[in-house]
Amino acid sequence: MTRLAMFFAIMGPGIITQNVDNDAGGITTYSLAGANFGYALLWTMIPVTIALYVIQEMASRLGAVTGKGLADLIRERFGLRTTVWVMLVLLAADFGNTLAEFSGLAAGGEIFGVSKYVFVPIGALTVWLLVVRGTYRSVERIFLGASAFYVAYVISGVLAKPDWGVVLRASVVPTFSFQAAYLLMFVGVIGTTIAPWMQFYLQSTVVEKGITVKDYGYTRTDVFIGSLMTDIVAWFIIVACGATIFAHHIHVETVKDAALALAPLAGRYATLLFALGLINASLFSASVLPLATSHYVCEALGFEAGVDRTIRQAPVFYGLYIALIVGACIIVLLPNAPLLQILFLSQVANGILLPFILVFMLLLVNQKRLMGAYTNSVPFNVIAWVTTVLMIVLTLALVVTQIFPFGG
Amino acid sequence: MLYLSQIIGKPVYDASGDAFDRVADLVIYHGTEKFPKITGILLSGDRSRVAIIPWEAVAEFSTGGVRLRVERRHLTPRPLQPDEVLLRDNIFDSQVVDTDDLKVVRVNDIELRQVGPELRVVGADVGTRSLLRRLGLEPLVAGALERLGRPLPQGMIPWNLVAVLGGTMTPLKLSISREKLKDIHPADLADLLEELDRDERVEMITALGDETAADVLEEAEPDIQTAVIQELPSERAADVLEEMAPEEAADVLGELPEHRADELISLMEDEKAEEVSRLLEYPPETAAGKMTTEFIALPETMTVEQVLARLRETKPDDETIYYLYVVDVQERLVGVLSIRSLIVSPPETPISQVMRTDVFYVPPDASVEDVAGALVKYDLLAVPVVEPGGRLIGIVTVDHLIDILVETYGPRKLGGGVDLLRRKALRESAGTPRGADRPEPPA
Repeated sequence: MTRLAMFFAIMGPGIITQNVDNDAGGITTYSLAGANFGYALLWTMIPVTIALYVIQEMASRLGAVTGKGLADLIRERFGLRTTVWVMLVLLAADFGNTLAEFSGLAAGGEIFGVSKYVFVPIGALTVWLLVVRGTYRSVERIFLGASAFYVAYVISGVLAKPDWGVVLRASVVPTFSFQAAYLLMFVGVIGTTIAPWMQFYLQSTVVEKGITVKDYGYTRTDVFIGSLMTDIVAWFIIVACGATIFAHHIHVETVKDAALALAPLAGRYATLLFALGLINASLFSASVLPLATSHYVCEALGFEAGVDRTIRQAPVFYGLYIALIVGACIIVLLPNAPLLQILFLSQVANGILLPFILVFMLLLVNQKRLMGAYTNSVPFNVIAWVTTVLMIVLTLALVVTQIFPFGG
Repeated sequence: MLYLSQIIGKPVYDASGDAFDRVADLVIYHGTEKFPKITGILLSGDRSRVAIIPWEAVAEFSTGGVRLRVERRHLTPRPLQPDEVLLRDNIFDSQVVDTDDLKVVRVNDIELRQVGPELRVVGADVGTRSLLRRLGLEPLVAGALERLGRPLPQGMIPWNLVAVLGGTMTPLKLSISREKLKDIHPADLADLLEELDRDERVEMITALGDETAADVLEEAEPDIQTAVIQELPSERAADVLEEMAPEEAADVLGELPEHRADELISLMEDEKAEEVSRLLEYPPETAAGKMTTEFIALPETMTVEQVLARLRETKPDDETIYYLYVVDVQERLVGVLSIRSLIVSPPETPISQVMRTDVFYVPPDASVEDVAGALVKYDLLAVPVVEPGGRLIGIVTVDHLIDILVETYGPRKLGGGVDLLRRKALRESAGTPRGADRPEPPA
């Protein structure tokens, strides 16, 4: 009983991170994976879950043992030049993610027939007020509660009445194709599930919660449950779209198309739930991501940071934060902005940038001087390095197929 | 001016002019000296990082490299001594505390200066300029800004104002940290505490005495309080909690996992432990949950003279002296005595004759908002909490209540910044202008 109580006291970082992870970019990528490729990518979910758990566990272990954030560790162990490059990578990936969140808002609004010119600025303003007024902490629980909307995707998946035999077979039997579109989707799926920012975010939340090696076992469970939840939701989104949109050979371009296409096939509620889930996910992640990114960059480079500072005290911090939000908003609001491409390509960018971050995490987590007895075990190293190398190979393959298209 | 970043990786020549290795790190003795001296060199070739080349072996030192007096085979490396610190490994690129500007800053570079045969650390570089220098962009950007008439500031903190926290806590290191932090107000230390890493926080709290540590912790945000108590060794955590006001200690313990709270309470002095446990039983969002048990209760049989004698003897805090509560033998609240009536009444008057009996009080289960309302409406500095039977069990002071309300209704909008500016302004007007206490680094 006390063990259970301990778990609830410590629970959080892993599960919250994973819920932020199922953001607009994630939902879009999984929907399109299902809509355009049917169950062809379903088999990736099991290996991706394992890789996700291994990597997230590394991040939380780094936090619990060292008591420092990932950006701090990179700065202290690899020096300034490396840190600047890593931070540029993170900024680029997260600008993409922020764009994705606001495109998600635009798409979610449009499903309800609200123009993006109204919905996106309201969303941005809400995010700004929540964060700067310091009410985010109290609203976090609401967002987290609203993550129950993700059950909507599970329901949508069931409502879509897939042939479960086929689905289960597709989940365990790998298939592969060297078509550029398939590769792009493959990198996107991994990139959205295991995103670079998550490693920074999870490690800092573990540190902020004051979790130490003593209580670490519970955090490991927390991370495990979180990884599992993310991918179960992802799996059902792919199934829902695969069983309906792909099976009926409907061509969809956007997540809005996908949601609307669900209506005649899986019922109107499926569409509404889909849209609400998307809006919640977008707002949730838009409140967390740009703020967290500005924090890491400032802390690593030694600029003052935090919403309890004034703009004059922390100009770089606010500058970055405003640039991320306003920049993303403006691009999304451009007439004819290709929302889908933005959403999807940002996830591909995550996938391409992921190996850079993973390499540093692996170097850190294997430093005896830093981790003492808590360095990686051999299986962990193998899985993490394989993921890293695989992402590099896939990215290279992607570049090659973009330049010399064949088979497609 | 010599910078650490210009020396790391430079070749090391022996007496025969053979460049046999490179500089990996410099060692300083982190003692009581204001500007510590370099005591040795760690070489890149030494993978196990144990053999320090003593500084005595160095003949010449510049940005071009290090020339030794002896030949390579005559070198006598020694292990790292206690209280010796590796500059690059432990300080460079890490966080330190600027004890003058009261900020946590990241060290972009370390300034060194040759003084006779010695090389000493004179300052930590923290500004944008040093950031640019490390990236090789200083000439470009600094030049451009100078032409625009807005030259980049240097951003150097003299070493005597830098506190390096974290790392191995030797008695000497702790006493140096204590010395460097001793003049900083607990509220400012609390702000610094929030920005430090775990190890750095533990060192700060360990370096300060129990009493100061408790003051600092009382000023810190709730999640920092619990994090620090969780990170400290149990014995030390219990000592600090003992020194905190009982209601503050109870608040912190209430946030901890139960088994940890029980462990800490069992380590506290019996009397304090009992008081804290009792406070912990009240629901947190009520008057009883927020009250302090540190108040003055006087038996109604005392005379004015006896009361004055007792106050002289017990020297109560500012917060509690404004209201002197009068109780009967069953500890029931019967009145309140003002300092004014104590002063103006003849010494032998029984206090029951000069006290006010129409005392406003709240029940233990009153909500925090109701208590706040009462304090505002009746212009009180504190309100007594009285059980249904009439027994006085504690008071809620306006001070504590403001903290609670600020926590509930929003972040500290005014931040540490405003406070800090005001405090600095006060210090300056008191005749110690900023930087006046900065001694000139040795020439």
